[in-house]
Amino acid sequence: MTECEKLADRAQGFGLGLRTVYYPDILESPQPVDWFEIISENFMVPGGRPLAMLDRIRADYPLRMHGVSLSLASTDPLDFDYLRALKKLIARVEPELVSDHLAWTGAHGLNLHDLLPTPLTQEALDHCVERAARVQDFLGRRIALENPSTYVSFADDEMGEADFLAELARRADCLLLLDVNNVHVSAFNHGFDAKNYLDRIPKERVAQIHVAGHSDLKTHKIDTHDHPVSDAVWELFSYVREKFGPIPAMIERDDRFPPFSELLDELGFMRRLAEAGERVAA
Amino acid sequence: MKLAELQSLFQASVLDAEPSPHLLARLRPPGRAESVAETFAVYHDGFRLRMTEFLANDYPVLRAALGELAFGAMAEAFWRARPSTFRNARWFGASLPAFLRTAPHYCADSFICGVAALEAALAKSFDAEDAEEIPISALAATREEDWPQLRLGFHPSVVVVETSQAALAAYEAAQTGEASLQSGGAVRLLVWRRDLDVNYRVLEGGEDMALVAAFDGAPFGEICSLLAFANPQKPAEELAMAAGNYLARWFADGMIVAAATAPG
Ligand SMILES: [Fe+2]
Repeated sequence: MTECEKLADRAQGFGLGLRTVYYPDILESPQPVDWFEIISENFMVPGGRPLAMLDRIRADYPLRMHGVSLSLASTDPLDFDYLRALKKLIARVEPELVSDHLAWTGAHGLNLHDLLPTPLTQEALDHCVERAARVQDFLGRRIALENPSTYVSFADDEMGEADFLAELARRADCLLLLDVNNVHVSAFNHGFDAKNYLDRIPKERVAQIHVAGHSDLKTHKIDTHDHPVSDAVWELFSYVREKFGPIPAMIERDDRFPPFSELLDELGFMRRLAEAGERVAA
Repeated sequence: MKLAELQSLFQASVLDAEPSPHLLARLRPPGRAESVAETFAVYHDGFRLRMTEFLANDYPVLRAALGELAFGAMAEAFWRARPSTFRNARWFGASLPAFLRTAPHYCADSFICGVAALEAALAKSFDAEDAEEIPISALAATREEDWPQLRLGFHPSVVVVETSQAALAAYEAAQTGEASLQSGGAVRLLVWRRDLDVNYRVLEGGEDMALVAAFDGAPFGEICSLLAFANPQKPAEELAMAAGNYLARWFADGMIVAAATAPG
């Protein structure tokens, strides 16, 4: 592999969510992580340590930006103060990808700081298409939208979530961030078939993959990011890799943080699983 | 039902003590759970846990001082009075001290109000805007007759906060892991960031007065006059010397980012 190919490979590669608990490990020595994903809002602050750390880590690793408060599906007006701050951070970070969720976070000017589920109706689809297109026009780049974990669905739903996302991506000309754990969690909670869902996702639109751990409450599962990735989710990840080919993929961990070395082991497992899939495909 | 109506109903069902039966009737039966109320609780209860967690992140000493139950109750009183309108959860808890100062249940508790004020000031300083500090040598060229017009610009991370001796002792005990039983009256703290680290120190009367005036843009001459009014028994030279020492210390601590003698 030439130096150039290696760089291109690294830009694809396997990443981790950047979390402050791991700063000492990341700054101490080079880590076998191809890129990090930041939560955009954590760095939408005036200055100080957060931005200083961001610049230091950015000097050594490619970054991707993942937002949690675009509130794409909300019927409130788009928040251009937020989008301006996001655009400023994009200019600083020069990320490979900017993403957020198919969700809303509040209405009537409030923010519940959660990824709330949208009904899967034609009305909601038209609304999201129009807003995603305007966000992309404002940012001057394409964004990726992630399938959320959901715990309720609506009697008025007119289509499945995979079809909703496929149409949204096609009509708004945006990308998708496929969270395999969220597919698993939502499939369990709503009783749909996860592989059938994945079969309906347009592969050329998928710009990134998330996997994460969840909590199993037996009657339903919650997307808590506080456990290692489950076997069922790894199986779905392998299915995605075999079907979609190489797509940048990462592990999200947000609570009950293990030592960094354990997370690296999990990332190594992901790498080997993906490579094994490629050998099978070849 | 239109999308906007449905979102209103959903949001109210998260915020209210119980979800609206009208909303639950519009949700599909879950795959395995007993009832849709059980899965809706992920949003309803999750919201409360998250609000409490945001506040606990910004106010760990207050959280420890109140204990889990009382802190949870305070968090709910706070988000009910001041629901988040912020995209960034970072700003949600910033007005907690202002809320506590006027909330009937908390306003008389100088310890609780003091801990909250102290932790809010530290958080504000932590990620305030960056600015380049200037050395005291920047004043070397200032002519003696221009000194009364000298005005200073402070680093954006500089915060003056009123707290209590007991609150400060509790905060310091939490840093060292020791218990604190100290009591005591009001105390004013100077908080500022240098080299990414947040520092603080207690402000005494003269420096407090000089700093607040300088912070408000008063020129050096006015600061000296203020000190003279407050200390009529002290000779003017002594007070000018004290003012000069304060100023030197602010420079030495890296708190000054601009100095100019232009009238204005
Ligand atoms: Fe995700």
